[in-house]
Amino acid sequence: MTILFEFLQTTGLANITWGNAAMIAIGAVFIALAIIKDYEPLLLLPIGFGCIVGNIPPIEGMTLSVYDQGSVLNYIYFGVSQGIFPPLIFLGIGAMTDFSALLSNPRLVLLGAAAQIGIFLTFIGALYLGFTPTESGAIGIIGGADGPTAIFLSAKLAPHLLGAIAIAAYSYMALVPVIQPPIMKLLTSRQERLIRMAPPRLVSQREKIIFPIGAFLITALIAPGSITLLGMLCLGNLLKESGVTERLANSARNALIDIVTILLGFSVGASTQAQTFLVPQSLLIFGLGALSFAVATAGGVLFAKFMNLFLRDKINPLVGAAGVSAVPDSARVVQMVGHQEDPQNHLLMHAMAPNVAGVIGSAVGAGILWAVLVG
Amino acid sequence: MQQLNFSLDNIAAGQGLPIALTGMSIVFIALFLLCGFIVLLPRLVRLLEPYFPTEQEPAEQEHATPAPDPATVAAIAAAVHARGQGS
Repeated sequence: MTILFEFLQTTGLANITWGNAAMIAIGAVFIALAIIKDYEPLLLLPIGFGCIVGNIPPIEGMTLSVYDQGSVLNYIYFGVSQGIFPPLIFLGIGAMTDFSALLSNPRLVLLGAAAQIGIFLTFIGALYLGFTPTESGAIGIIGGADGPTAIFLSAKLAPHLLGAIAIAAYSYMALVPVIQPPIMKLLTSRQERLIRMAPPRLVSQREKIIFPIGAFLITALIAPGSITLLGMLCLGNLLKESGVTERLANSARNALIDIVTILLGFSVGASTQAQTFLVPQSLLIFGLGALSFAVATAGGVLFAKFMNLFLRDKINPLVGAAGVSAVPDSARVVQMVGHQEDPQNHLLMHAMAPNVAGVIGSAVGAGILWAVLVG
Repeated sequence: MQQLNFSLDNIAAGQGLPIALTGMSIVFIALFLLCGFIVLLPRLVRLLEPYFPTEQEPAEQEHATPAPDPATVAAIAAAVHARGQGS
Protein backbone atom coordinates (compact mmCIF):
# COMPACT_ATOMS: atom_id res chain seq x y z
CA MET A 1 0.00 0.00 0.00
CA THR A 2 2.86 2.35 0.84
CA ILE A 3 4.46 1.65 -2.53
CA LEU A 4 1.23 2.46 -4.30
CA PHE A 5 0.89 5.67 -2.29
CA GLU A 6 4.48 6.70 -3.09
CA PHE A 7 3.88 5.95 -6.75
CA LEU A 8 0.74 8.05 -6.80
CA GLN A 9 2.78 10.96 -5.40
CA THR A 10 5.00 10.82 -8.48
CA THR A 11 2.24 10.77 -11.07
CA GLY A 12 1.62 13.71 -13.33
CA LEU A 13 -1.89 14.03 -11.94
CA ALA A 14 -0.48 14.69 -8.46
CA ASN A 15 2.06 17.25 -9.62
CA ILE A 16 0.38 19.05 -12.48
CA THR A 17 -0.06 22.80 -12.07
CA TRP A 18 -2.61 25.12 -13.64
CA GLY A 19 0.21 26.42 -15.78
CA ASN A 20 1.00 22.95 -17.11
CA ALA A 21 -2.69 22.39 -17.83
CA ALA A 22 -2.87 25.71 -19.69
CA MET A 23 0.17 24.83 -21.79
CA ILE A 24 -1.28 21.39 -22.59
CA ALA A 25 -4.45 23.18 -23.74
CA ILE A 26 -2.36 25.53 -25.90
CA GLY A 27 -0.60 22.51 -27.39
CA ALA A 28 -3.99 20.99 -28.19
CA VAL A 29 -5.08 24.26 -29.85
CA PHE A 30 -1.93 24.20 -32.03
CA ILE A 31 -2.69 20.64 -33.08
CA ALA A 32 -6.30 21.60 -33.83
CA LEU A 33 -5.18 24.64 -35.87
CA ALA A 34 -2.79 22.43 -37.82
CA ILE A 35 -5.34 19.72 -38.56
CA ILE A 36 -8.58 21.67 -38.88
CA LYS A 37 -7.36 25.00 -40.26
CA ASP A 38 -4.26 23.70 -42.06
CA TYR A 39 -2.20 26.53 -40.47
CA GLU A 40 1.50 25.61 -40.91
CA PRO A 41 0.69 21.95 -40.05
CA LEU A 42 4.26 20.74 -40.60
CA LEU A 43 5.37 22.94 -37.72
CA LEU A 44 2.37 23.54 -35.51
CA LEU A 45 1.60 19.85 -35.13
CA PRO A 46 5.03 18.80 -33.78
CA ILE A 47 5.26 22.00 -31.72
CA GLY A 48 1.78 21.42 -30.29
CA PHE A 49 2.52 17.84 -29.35
CA GLY A 50 5.88 18.95 -27.93
CA CYS A 51 3.99 21.44 -25.71
CA ILE A 52 1.91 18.59 -24.33
CA VAL A 53 4.95 16.36 -23.75
CA GLY A 54 6.96 19.16 -22.15
CA ASN A 55 4.23 19.99 -19.66
CA ILE A 56 3.79 16.58 -18.11
CA PRO A 57 5.35 17.21 -14.69
CA PRO A 58 8.65 15.33 -14.48
CA ILE A 59 9.43 12.96 -11.64
CA GLU A 60 12.01 14.40 -9.25
CA GLY A 61 15.39 12.72 -9.66
CA MET A 62 14.67 11.40 -13.13
CA THR A 63 16.21 13.05 -16.17
CA LEU A 64 13.22 13.55 -18.41
CA SER A 65 12.69 17.14 -19.55
CA VAL A 66 14.57 19.09 -22.22
CA TYR A 67 16.28 21.03 -19.46
CA ASP A 68 17.63 17.91 -17.64
CA GLN A 69 21.23 17.27 -18.68
CA GLY A 70 21.54 13.82 -20.21
CA SER A 71 17.86 13.24 -20.91
CA VAL A 72 16.83 12.04 -24.36
CA LEU A 73 14.83 15.22 -24.91
CA ASN A 74 17.86 17.24 -23.86
CA TYR A 75 19.93 15.57 -26.58
CA ILE A 76 17.28 16.34 -29.18
CA TYR A 77 17.02 19.91 -27.88
CA PHE A 78 20.79 20.22 -28.29
CA GLY A 79 20.17 20.76 -32.00
CA VAL A 80 18.02 23.76 -31.11
CA SER A 81 20.05 25.20 -28.24
CA GLN A 82 23.28 25.04 -30.25
CA GLY A 83 21.69 26.36 -33.44
CA ILE A 84 22.30 23.16 -35.45
CA PHE A 85 18.79 22.54 -36.79
CA PRO A 86 18.08 25.96 -38.39
CA PRO A 87 21.01 25.81 -40.88
CA LEU A 88 19.95 22.27 -41.86
CA ILE A 89 16.46 23.57 -42.54
CA PHE A 90 18.01 26.35 -44.64
CA LEU A 91 19.85 23.67 -46.64
CA GLY A 92 16.50 22.07 -47.45
CA ILE A 93 14.88 25.42 -48.23
CA GLY A 94 17.76 26.23 -50.59
CA ALA A 95 17.28 22.90 -52.35
CA MET A 96 13.56 23.69 -52.78
CA THR A 97 13.81 27.32 -53.83
CA ASP A 98 13.74 28.49 -57.42
CA PHE A 99 15.30 31.94 -57.55
CA SER A 100 14.07 32.59 -61.12
CA ALA A 101 11.51 35.17 -60.00
CA LEU A 102 14.25 37.07 -58.16
CA LEU A 103 16.72 36.81 -61.04
CA SER A 104 14.20 38.03 -63.58
CA ASN A 105 13.21 41.14 -61.62
CA PRO A 106 16.14 42.22 -59.40
CA ARG A 107 14.61 45.52 -58.26
CA LEU A 108 12.14 43.50 -56.17
CA VAL A 109 15.10 42.42 -53.99
CA LEU A 110 14.90 45.81 -52.30
CA LEU A 111 11.42 45.03 -51.01
CA GLY A 112 12.96 42.12 -49.12
CA ALA A 113 15.31 44.63 -47.50
CA ALA A 114 12.58 47.15 -46.65
CA ALA A 115 10.49 44.56 -44.81
CA GLN A 116 13.39 43.94 -42.41
CA ILE A 117 12.50 47.22 -40.73
CA GLY A 118 10.24 45.01 -38.60
CA ILE A 119 13.35 43.46 -37.04
CA PHE A 120 14.99 46.71 -36.06
CA LEU A 121 11.87 48.58 -34.87
CA THR A 122 10.95 45.59 -32.73
CA PHE A 123 14.48 45.62 -31.35
CA ILE A 124 13.92 49.23 -30.26
CA GLY A 125 10.49 48.33 -28.87
CA ALA A 126 11.93 45.48 -26.82
CA LEU A 127 14.62 47.77 -25.39
CA TYR A 128 11.90 50.24 -24.40
CA LEU A 129 10.05 47.51 -22.52
CA GLY A 130 13.14 46.78 -20.44
CA PHE A 131 14.65 43.77 -22.18
CA THR A 132 18.44 43.68 -22.34
CA PRO A 133 20.10 44.45 -25.72
CA THR A 134 20.80 40.75 -26.45
CA GLU A 135 17.25 39.77 -25.49
CA SER A 136 15.93 42.63 -27.63
CA GLY A 137 17.96 41.42 -30.60
CA ALA A 138 16.54 37.92 -30.22
CA ILE A 139 12.99 39.28 -29.95
CA GLY A 140 13.52 41.68 -32.86
CA ILE A 141 14.32 38.84 -35.24
CA ILE A 142 10.68 37.69 -34.97
CA GLY A 143 10.06 40.59 -37.37
CA GLY A 144 12.07 38.71 -39.97
CA ALA A 145 9.13 36.27 -40.08
CA ASP A 146 11.52 33.37 -40.44
CA GLY A 147 11.26 30.60 -37.86
CA PRO A 148 14.69 28.97 -38.32
CA THR A 149 16.43 32.37 -38.26
CA ALA A 150 14.52 33.35 -35.11
CA ILE A 151 15.54 30.10 -33.39
CA PHE A 152 19.14 30.41 -34.55
CA LEU A 153 19.57 33.94 -33.24
CA SER A 154 17.70 33.34 -29.97
CA ALA A 155 19.91 30.33 -29.29
CA LYS A 156 22.92 32.62 -29.63
CA LEU A 157 21.62 35.76 -27.92
CA ALA A 158 18.95 34.75 -25.40
CA PRO A 159 18.58 30.98 -24.99
CA HIS A 160 16.24 31.44 -22.02
CA LEU A 161 13.69 33.15 -24.31
CA LEU A 162 14.02 30.64 -27.13
CA GLY A 163 10.74 28.84 -26.45
CA ALA A 164 8.65 32.01 -26.36
CA ILE A 165 10.36 33.50 -29.41
CA ALA A 166 10.06 30.33 -31.48
CA ILE A 167 6.40 29.87 -30.57
CA ALA A 168 5.67 33.54 -31.33
CA ALA A 169 7.51 33.40 -34.67
CA TYR A 170 5.78 30.24 -35.85
CA SER A 171 2.36 31.29 -34.54
CA TYR A 172 2.48 34.56 -36.41
CA MET A 173 3.85 32.87 -39.53
CA ALA A 174 0.76 30.66 -39.40
CA LEU A 175 -1.36 33.78 -39.00
CA VAL A 176 0.13 35.63 -41.98
CA PRO A 177 -3.16 35.26 -43.93
CA VAL A 178 -4.94 36.98 -41.04
CA ILE A 179 -2.38 39.68 -40.14
CA GLN A 180 -1.28 40.91 -43.55
CA PRO A 181 -4.41 41.60 -45.67
CA PRO A 182 -5.89 44.42 -43.53
CA ILE A 183 -2.54 46.24 -43.47
CA MET A 184 -2.05 45.77 -47.22
CA LYS A 185 -5.52 47.13 -47.96
CA LEU A 186 -5.17 50.00 -45.51
CA LEU A 187 -1.94 51.23 -47.10
CA THR A 188 -2.92 50.92 -50.77
CA SER A 189 -5.60 52.41 -52.98
CA ARG A 190 -7.72 50.19 -55.23
CA GLN A 191 -5.96 51.71 -58.23
CA GLU A 192 -2.61 50.60 -56.83
CA ARG A 193 -3.87 47.10 -56.10
CA LEU A 194 -4.95 46.81 -59.73
CA ILE A 195 -1.45 47.49 -61.14
CA ARG A 196 -0.35 44.73 -63.47
CA MET A 197 3.34 43.96 -63.64
CA ALA A 198 5.33 42.96 -66.71
CA PRO A 199 5.92 39.21 -67.08
CA PRO A 200 9.32 38.00 -65.82
CA ARG A 201 12.19 37.57 -68.30
CA LEU A 202 13.77 34.29 -69.29
CA VAL A 203 16.49 33.11 -66.87
CA SER A 204 19.27 30.81 -68.10
CA GLN A 205 20.49 27.81 -66.14
CA ARG A 206 23.99 29.30 -65.92
CA GLU A 207 22.60 32.37 -64.15
CA LYS A 208 20.86 30.09 -61.67
CA ILE A 209 24.10 28.19 -61.02
CA ILE A 210 26.26 31.28 -60.54
CA PHE A 211 23.68 33.10 -58.39
CA PRO A 212 24.02 31.12 -55.12
CA ILE A 213 27.82 31.43 -55.20
CA GLY A 214 27.79 35.17 -55.90
CA ALA A 215 24.91 35.85 -53.53
CA PHE A 216 26.69 34.04 -50.71
CA LEU A 217 29.96 35.88 -51.29
CA ILE A 218 28.27 39.29 -51.33
CA THR A 219 26.07 38.79 -48.27
CA ALA A 220 28.53 36.79 -46.18
CA LEU A 221 31.41 39.18 -46.78
CA ILE A 222 29.20 42.05 -45.60
CA ALA A 223 27.63 40.19 -42.64
CA PRO A 224 29.83 37.20 -41.71
CA GLY A 225 27.45 36.36 -38.87
CA SER A 226 25.06 35.04 -41.49
CA ILE A 227 27.45 32.52 -43.06
CA THR A 228 25.93 29.51 -41.33
CA LEU A 229 22.39 30.23 -42.49
CA LEU A 230 23.17 31.70 -45.91
CA GLY A 231 25.96 29.20 -46.56
CA MET A 232 23.55 26.32 -46.14
CA LEU A 233 20.79 28.10 -48.10
CA CYS A 234 23.13 28.75 -51.03
CA LEU A 235 24.67 25.28 -50.86
CA GLY A 236 21.21 23.75 -51.01
CA ASN A 237 20.34 25.89 -54.00
CA LEU A 238 23.59 25.04 -55.77
CA LEU A 239 22.90 21.33 -55.22
CA LYS A 240 19.54 21.87 -56.91
CA GLU A 241 20.66 24.04 -59.80
CA SER A 242 24.00 22.42 -60.63
CA GLY A 243 22.18 19.48 -62.17
CA VAL A 244 24.94 17.08 -61.10
CA THR A 245 23.92 16.49 -57.47
CA GLU A 246 20.27 15.68 -57.86
CA ARG A 247 20.45 12.90 -55.28
CA LEU A 248 21.86 15.24 -52.65
CA ALA A 249 19.37 17.97 -53.49
CA ASN A 250 16.57 15.45 -53.28
CA SER A 251 17.70 14.27 -49.84
CA ALA A 252 18.09 17.85 -48.60
CA ARG A 253 14.64 19.01 -49.71
CA ASN A 254 12.80 15.84 -48.66
CA ALA A 255 14.22 13.46 -46.05
CA LEU A 256 16.63 15.82 -44.29
CA ILE A 257 14.31 18.80 -43.95
CA ASP A 258 11.46 16.54 -42.82
CA ILE A 259 13.56 14.86 -40.12
CA VAL A 260 14.95 18.15 -38.86
CA THR A 261 11.51 19.80 -38.91
CA ILE A 262 10.09 17.02 -36.73
CA LEU A 263 12.97 17.21 -34.24
CA LEU A 264 13.02 21.00 -34.16
CA GLY A 265 9.26 21.45 -33.82
CA PHE A 266 8.93 18.79 -31.17
CA SER A 267 11.86 19.92 -29.03
CA VAL A 268 10.89 23.60 -29.26
CA GLY A 269 7.39 22.63 -28.13
CA ALA A 270 8.79 20.52 -25.31
CA SER A 271 10.84 23.49 -24.12
CA THR A 272 7.70 25.45 -23.27
CA GLN A 273 7.32 24.21 -19.72
CA ALA A 274 4.84 26.38 -17.86
CA GLN A 275 7.39 27.24 -15.18
CA THR A 276 9.67 28.91 -17.75
CA PHE A 277 7.13 29.88 -20.42
CA LEU A 278 4.16 31.35 -18.56
CA VAL A 279 5.83 34.55 -17.41
CA PRO A 280 4.96 38.20 -18.21
CA GLN A 281 7.94 38.42 -20.57
CA SER A 282 6.35 35.83 -22.86
CA LEU A 283 3.23 37.97 -23.18
CA LEU A 284 5.37 40.98 -24.10
CA ILE A 285 7.26 38.87 -26.64
CA PHE A 286 3.95 37.83 -28.22
CA GLY A 287 2.81 41.46 -28.34
CA LEU A 288 6.08 42.60 -29.89
CA GLY A 289 5.93 39.71 -32.36
CA ALA A 290 2.50 40.78 -33.65
CA LEU A 291 3.73 44.36 -33.92
CA SER A 292 6.86 43.29 -35.78
CA PHE A 293 4.87 41.36 -38.40
CA ALA A 294 2.62 44.36 -38.93
CA VAL A 295 5.57 46.76 -39.20
CA ALA A 296 7.44 44.46 -41.59
CA THR A 297 4.38 44.17 -43.84
CA ALA A 298 3.84 47.93 -43.80
CA GLY A 299 7.55 48.51 -44.50
CA GLY A 300 7.46 46.38 -47.64
CA VAL A 301 4.24 47.90 -48.97
CA LEU A 302 5.29 51.50 -48.29
CA PHE A 303 8.71 50.97 -49.85
CA ALA A 304 7.08 49.59 -52.99
CA LYS A 305 5.00 52.78 -53.15
CA PHE A 306 8.17 54.82 -52.65
CA MET A 307 9.93 52.95 -55.47
CA ASN A 308 6.95 53.66 -57.74
CA LEU A 309 7.72 57.37 -57.48
CA PHE A 310 10.85 56.73 -59.57
CA LEU A 311 9.86 53.79 -61.77
CA ARG A 312 8.30 53.83 -65.21
CA ASP A 313 7.11 50.22 -64.94
CA LYS A 314 5.19 50.40 -61.67
CA ILE A 315 5.31 47.73 -58.99
CA ASN A 316 2.03 46.57 -57.50
CA PRO A 317 2.59 47.67 -53.87
CA LEU A 318 0.87 44.55 -52.59
CA VAL A 319 3.99 42.66 -53.66
CA GLY A 320 5.94 44.58 -50.98
CA ALA A 321 4.08 42.63 -48.28
CA ALA A 322 5.86 39.49 -49.47
CA GLY A 323 9.15 41.02 -48.31
CA VAL A 324 8.59 39.32 -44.98
CA SER A 325 10.24 35.98 -45.40
CA ALA A 326 7.33 33.71 -44.52
CA VAL A 327 7.80 31.58 -47.65
CA PRO A 328 5.51 31.00 -49.48
CA ASP A 329 2.61 32.09 -47.29
CA SER A 330 3.06 35.83 -47.69
CA ALA A 331 3.41 35.44 -51.49
CA ARG A 332 0.15 33.49 -51.43
CA VAL A 333 -1.50 36.28 -49.44
CA VAL A 334 -0.35 38.83 -52.06
CA GLN A 335 -1.86 36.64 -54.79
CA MET A 336 -5.09 36.32 -52.81
CA VAL A 337 -5.50 40.05 -52.12
CA GLY A 338 -4.59 40.97 -55.71
CA HIS A 339 -6.99 38.34 -57.00
CA GLN A 340 -9.85 39.82 -54.96
CA GLU A 341 -9.43 43.14 -56.79
CA ASP A 342 -8.80 41.71 -60.24
CA PRO A 343 -9.26 38.00 -60.85
CA GLN A 344 -7.10 38.25 -63.98
CA ASN A 345 -4.11 39.79 -62.14
CA HIS A 346 -1.72 37.07 -61.00
CA LEU A 347 0.91 38.40 -58.62
CA LEU A 348 2.22 35.12 -57.23
CA MET A 349 5.32 34.89 -59.46
CA HIS A 350 6.22 38.52 -58.75
CA ALA A 351 5.65 38.12 -55.01
CA MET A 352 8.04 35.18 -54.82
CA ALA A 353 10.94 37.54 -55.61
CA PRO A 354 10.71 39.73 -52.48
CA ASN A 355 9.68 36.64 -50.53
CA VAL A 356 12.98 34.82 -51.12
CA ALA A 357 14.87 38.12 -50.87
CA GLY A 358 13.27 38.45 -47.44
CA VAL A 359 14.79 35.12 -46.41
CA ILE A 360 18.23 36.44 -47.37
CA GLY A 361 17.52 39.83 -45.76
CA SER A 362 16.41 38.36 -42.44
CA ALA A 363 19.48 36.10 -42.33
CA VAL A 364 21.69 39.15 -42.98
CA GLY A 365 19.79 41.03 -40.26
CA ALA A 366 20.38 38.17 -37.85
CA GLY A 367 24.08 38.13 -38.72
CA ILE A 368 24.33 41.87 -38.05
CA LEU A 369 22.55 41.67 -34.69
CA TRP A 370 24.71 38.72 -33.63
CA ALA A 371 27.90 40.54 -34.57
CA VAL A 372 26.93 43.85 -32.99
CA LEU A 373 25.44 42.50 -29.77
CA VAL A 374 27.89 39.70 -29.02
CA GLY A 375 30.95 40.33 -31.17
CA MET B 1 15.27 40.89 -18.18
CA GLN B 2 14.98 41.21 -14.42
CA GLN B 3 11.77 43.23 -14.17
CA LEU B 4 9.49 45.22 -16.40
CA ASN B 5 10.77 48.76 -16.70
CA PHE B 6 9.24 50.71 -19.56
CA SER B 7 11.44 53.70 -20.35
CA LEU B 8 12.82 55.57 -23.31
CA ASP B 9 16.11 55.70 -21.44
CA ASN B 10 16.46 51.96 -22.03
CA ILE B 11 16.65 52.63 -25.77
CA ALA B 12 19.46 55.12 -25.32
CA ALA B 13 21.28 52.90 -22.85
CA GLY B 14 21.09 49.93 -25.21
CA GLN B 15 22.18 52.08 -28.18
CA GLY B 16 18.90 51.14 -29.83
CA LEU B 17 18.74 53.83 -32.49
CA PRO B 18 22.37 53.56 -33.72
CA ILE B 19 22.15 49.76 -33.88
CA ALA B 20 18.80 49.85 -35.69
CA LEU B 21 19.91 52.49 -38.19
CA THR B 22 23.23 50.77 -38.85
CA GLY B 23 21.58 47.37 -39.11
CA MET B 24 18.91 48.55 -41.52
CA SER B 25 21.51 50.36 -43.64
CA ILE B 26 23.71 47.27 -43.86
CA VAL B 27 20.75 45.08 -44.85
CA PHE B 28 19.92 47.58 -47.60
CA ILE B 29 23.53 47.77 -48.77
CA ALA B 30 23.84 43.97 -48.88
CA LEU B 31 20.62 43.51 -50.83
CA PHE B 32 21.33 46.51 -53.07
CA LEU B 33 24.67 44.92 -54.01
CA LEU B 34 22.86 41.63 -54.55
CA CYS B 35 20.44 43.46 -56.83
CA GLY B 36 23.40 44.90 -58.77
CA PHE B 37 24.96 41.46 -59.02
CA ILE B 38 21.74 40.03 -60.47
CA VAL B 39 21.57 42.87 -63.00
CA LEU B 40 25.14 42.10 -64.08
CA LEU B 41 24.63 38.34 -64.06
CA PRO B 42 23.56 37.98 -67.73
CA ARG B 43 26.68 39.95 -68.76
CA LEU B 44 28.84 37.79 -66.53
CA VAL B 45 27.40 34.69 -68.16
CA ARG B 46 28.22 36.12 -71.60
CA LEU B 47 31.76 36.96 -70.43
CA LEU B 48 32.29 33.42 -69.18
CA GLU B 49 30.98 31.84 -72.36
CA PRO B 50 34.33 31.81 -74.22
CA TYR B 51 35.92 29.89 -71.35
CA PHE B 52 33.31 27.16 -71.42
CA PRO B 53 32.82 24.89 -74.38
CA THR B 54 29.86 25.94 -76.44
CA GLU B 55 28.86 22.28 -76.72
CA GLN B 56 27.17 22.80 -73.33
CA GLU B 57 24.81 25.29 -74.88
CA PRO B 58 22.14 22.82 -76.05
CA ALA B 59 21.95 21.43 -72.51
CA GLU B 60 21.68 24.94 -71.17
CA GLN B 61 18.86 25.72 -73.58
CA GLU B 62 17.04 22.67 -72.35
CA HIS B 63 17.41 23.77 -68.76
CA ALA B 64 16.58 27.39 -69.39
CA THR B 65 13.44 28.52 -67.65
CA PRO B 66 10.95 29.38 -70.35
CA ALA B 67 9.01 32.58 -70.02
CA PRO B 68 5.89 31.51 -68.18
CA ASP B 69 2.86 31.05 -70.33
CA PRO B 70 0.10 33.37 -69.04
CA ALA B 71 -2.37 30.48 -69.09
CA THR B 72 -0.02 28.38 -66.94
CA VAL B 73 0.50 31.26 -64.52
CA ALA B 74 -3.25 31.71 -64.32
CA ALA B 75 -3.76 28.02 -63.60
CA ILE B 76 -1.07 27.97 -60.88
CA ALA B 77 -2.43 31.13 -59.32
CA ALA B 78 -5.99 29.80 -59.38
CA ALA B 79 -4.84 26.57 -57.70
CA VAL B 80 -2.97 28.49 -55.01
CA HIS B 81 -5.94 30.76 -54.51
CA ALA B 82 -8.28 27.79 -54.22
CA ARG B 83 -5.92 26.23 -51.66
CA GLY B 84 -5.86 29.52 -49.74
CA GLN B 85 -9.65 29.56 -49.67
CA GLY B 86 -9.70 26.02 -48.42
CA SER B 87 -7.31 26.61 -45.50
